[in-house]
Amino acid sequence: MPDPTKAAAQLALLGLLWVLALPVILVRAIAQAFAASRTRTVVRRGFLVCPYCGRGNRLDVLVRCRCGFAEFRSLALPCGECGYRPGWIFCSGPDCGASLRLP
Amino acid sequence: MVALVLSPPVCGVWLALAAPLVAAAFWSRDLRSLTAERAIAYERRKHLPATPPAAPEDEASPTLARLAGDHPLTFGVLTSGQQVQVGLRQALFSGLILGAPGMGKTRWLLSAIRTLVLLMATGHPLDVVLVDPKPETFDVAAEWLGGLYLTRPGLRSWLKRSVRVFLFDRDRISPLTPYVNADGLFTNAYLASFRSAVFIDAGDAEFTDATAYARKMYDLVLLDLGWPPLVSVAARFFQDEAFRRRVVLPRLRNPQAKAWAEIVGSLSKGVTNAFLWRLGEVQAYPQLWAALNTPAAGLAGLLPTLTPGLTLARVGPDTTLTDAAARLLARYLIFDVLARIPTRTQARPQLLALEELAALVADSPKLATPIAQALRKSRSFGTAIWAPAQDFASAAPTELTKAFALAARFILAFRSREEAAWLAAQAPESFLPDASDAERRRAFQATVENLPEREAVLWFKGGALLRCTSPEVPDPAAEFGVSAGELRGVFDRELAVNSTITMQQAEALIGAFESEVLGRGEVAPAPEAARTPVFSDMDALFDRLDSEEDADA
Repeated sequence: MPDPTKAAAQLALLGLLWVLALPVILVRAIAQAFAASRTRTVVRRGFLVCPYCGRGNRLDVLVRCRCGFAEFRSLALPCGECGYRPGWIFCSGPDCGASLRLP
Repeated sequence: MVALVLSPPVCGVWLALAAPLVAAAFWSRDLRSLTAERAIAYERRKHLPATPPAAPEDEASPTLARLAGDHPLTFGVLTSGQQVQVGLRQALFSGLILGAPGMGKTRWLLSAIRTLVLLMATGHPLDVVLVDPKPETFDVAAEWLGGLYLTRPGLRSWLKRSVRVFLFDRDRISPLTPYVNADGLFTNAYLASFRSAVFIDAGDAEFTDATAYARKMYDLVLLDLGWPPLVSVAARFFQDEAFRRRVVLPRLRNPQAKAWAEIVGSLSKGVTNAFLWRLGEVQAYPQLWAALNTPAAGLAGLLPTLTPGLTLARVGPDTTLTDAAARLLARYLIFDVLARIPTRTQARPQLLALEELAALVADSPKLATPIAQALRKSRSFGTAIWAPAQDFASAAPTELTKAFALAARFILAFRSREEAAWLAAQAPESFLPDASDAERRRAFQATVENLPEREAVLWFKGGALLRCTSPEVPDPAAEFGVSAGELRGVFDRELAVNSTITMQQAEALIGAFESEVLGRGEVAPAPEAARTPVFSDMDALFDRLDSEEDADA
């Protein structure tokens, strides 16, 4: 039978670690919430404007993922099969072709 | 244990961890369905025929209202039957008229020119210049003017007085007098450098630095003298020092030209020969030779003084001019007109209709710069450049296409496969405003590629796109009830005769000039070179040396 004092001490130590980690976790959670909000805005808009040539690049297309899965969705959303999300796309503006980072 | 798990700090951790995940799961499903719908609609649309670009009537009305003005030109007819009337002030902006052959560009241009001619004939201050390297536009315009002369006696005096023709056919030519600075609008140095640039940059021959410099300086000499660029005179000038000293130098006033003429003898024979070859190559065609070399002095009694008005230039290849010669003439005329843009004022606007401009400068990219510059500054001087062209994007240098895309106030696009892709990149956002750029380009390209004959997309920058049919232009023979040959005969007899001379007259004038300049008595023949004594053997040499010693003694 485990020693109750030792178990309580381990639990207390774990709790202390969680409490110490709390500020970091909170900050990360807030940052993630902001990022998610930004992604949502871009996905809802459906276009990614190139900062170089000003062209709007359509995001809602038939996406063929590298895993082979093809679906109608926004390029900024993860693949419905493997969860992969491309990091960037090429601008489709004539004579541009700049890499645009997806949110 | 339970108390610890449920304690506020730990609950905060759980909430902070779970909230983004829950939220992401919540809106991800929502966004997935939204974006999937949009993507499906987009992919479907991609495979459907392009949406017609014509603005609905209610959208076209503000544009039509904006274009309306005094002395309107009919640019086309909307599907509703409403005419696209563009006031003269709006119409006299630079524009690009694109389309495949036979789609209606020429007829559209003729329709505009007809309206403008009638406007000019009734006293409106305006000048129109048409340079046509493919003589179709010129020929139909000539027939129409012939018909106008026959049927409208009231316009005859204006037509005789104000229609200038540049024609280079088998029997008649228009003298160009390139080295006569009659109106004094330019300095001789400017005009000389301009003439040199056109011949050097536009000609087929390659110029080295030495021959190009010789050409520039000789052009300056010719302008100072007011002489034509006759090869016989040039050969004498370069090869005969006595001719230069006695005939040329006393007449030269320009110090630079004079200084150069004094040292011409030091030019190498190679440079001189190369220069003369290039000068003569251009003049190998009789019509070009006559047009360039007819002296201005002899023309005073042959041709009446014309007032500005309508200028028609027929510079297409035919049975007398080869393609190269015709292109050279067309470039010469175009650049002559472009050079004069800064001398114009907005009080008397000018329209330059330059057919096939892109093809003319296609193999001479250096010429694109002056055209682009002329295009940019033309509006300030009341000049509009209309460039009807086919395969514009491929034929014209990039600089020129960019200049037109920027400076042209309107683009009229008839059906064309070649232009469609280039034009699509310029498509305004008002065309399919809800579409993406790529989608808009594709739709615009498909629209231009599939336009019916005579139908065009008119885009005045800042307004809605108007899909219209070009105005009907009746055939002159049918319009006036006289055969095309007769109409052309009237034009040649009554109008063209005022700015052209016969080849015989040109030859006589050139002959007289040559005999006056080259055959004048005071010019001493070139001194004979000192003879080098020839000795048949050594004895003869010693005899000669002995005799010279005796003579010295």
